[in-house]
Amino acid sequence: MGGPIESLLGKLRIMAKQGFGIILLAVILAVLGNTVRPRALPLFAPPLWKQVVGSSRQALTIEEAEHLFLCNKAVFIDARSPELYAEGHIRGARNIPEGSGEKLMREALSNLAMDSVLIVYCDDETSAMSVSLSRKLAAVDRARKIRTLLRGWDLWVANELPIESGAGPVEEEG
Amino acid sequence: MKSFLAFRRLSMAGIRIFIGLLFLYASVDKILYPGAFAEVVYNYRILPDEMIHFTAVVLPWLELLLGLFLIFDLWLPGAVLLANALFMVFFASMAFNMARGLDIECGCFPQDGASASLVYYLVRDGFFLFLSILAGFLLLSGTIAWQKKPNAVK
Repeated sequence: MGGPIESLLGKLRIMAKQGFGIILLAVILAVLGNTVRPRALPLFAPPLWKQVVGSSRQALTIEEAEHLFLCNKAVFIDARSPELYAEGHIRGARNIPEGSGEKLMREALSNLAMDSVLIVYCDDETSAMSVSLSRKLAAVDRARKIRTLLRGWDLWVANELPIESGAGPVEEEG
Repeated sequence: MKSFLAFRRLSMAGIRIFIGLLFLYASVDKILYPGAFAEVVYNYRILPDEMIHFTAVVLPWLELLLGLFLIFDLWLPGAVLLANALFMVFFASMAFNMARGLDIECGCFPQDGASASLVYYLVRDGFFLFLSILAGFLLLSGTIAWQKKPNAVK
């Protein structure tokens, strides 16, 4: 017959065993769940934004962008030409072509709610246009939360997410 | 004495169901959007980059299981131990970031945004931690959860 210390240790042993069992079960379910997801996260790879743009958290995954879109927490900025934008763009996106002047960018930003994340995208394989525009927009308004959706247009279309066509609210140099 | 035991039992049931529901509520959004949760994990700036996705994938499932185990009184001692451990880790992570001046978003629940201060999140998590410690105390000092082998552990 053990004393109170042994009794306590016995209880702690049971706690630890069961706790380990729950963790093991959670890991198995999580890995299985992640495997069957359409867009599985690579479990031990650094996040995409680390691989692409260094240490600053600039790039979003398509999943993150979709989440922000569905929650209505983001404004998408199309960095392509007005012609390509008119052919098709992410639903509700604004067009600020890469290469726009500072005045135009400032005006465009002033019309957008401060609490929205700006997600810049283009259809360039290297996403050079959207990365460049993101940096310029960030320089114009440092208080903004600006992100980039790399290979944004292609990924958006490939994932059959909502798009629309037409000129829409194109920002024009005034 | 009987009424005291009944009160203990009721308190334990109330706490475990409350914490269980909290974990369930916290887990669903994270399971649906692991990419977004990975950003929250990253913002804590504690884990190495290689562990961010793994944590973002596993932690929500652990919360889901914990929620279910607590609500349905399964493996209660293990579930209470893990609940204590998780709340301690959350609390310590937030306190650590507050101490080094990083204003992070808690990301614990779906409605958590950048609007609330870290102090608010710390106080809230401190309350949850207090409840789970209380559950642990009730468990260790009583015989409620050890009924399968009543003679094995007094």
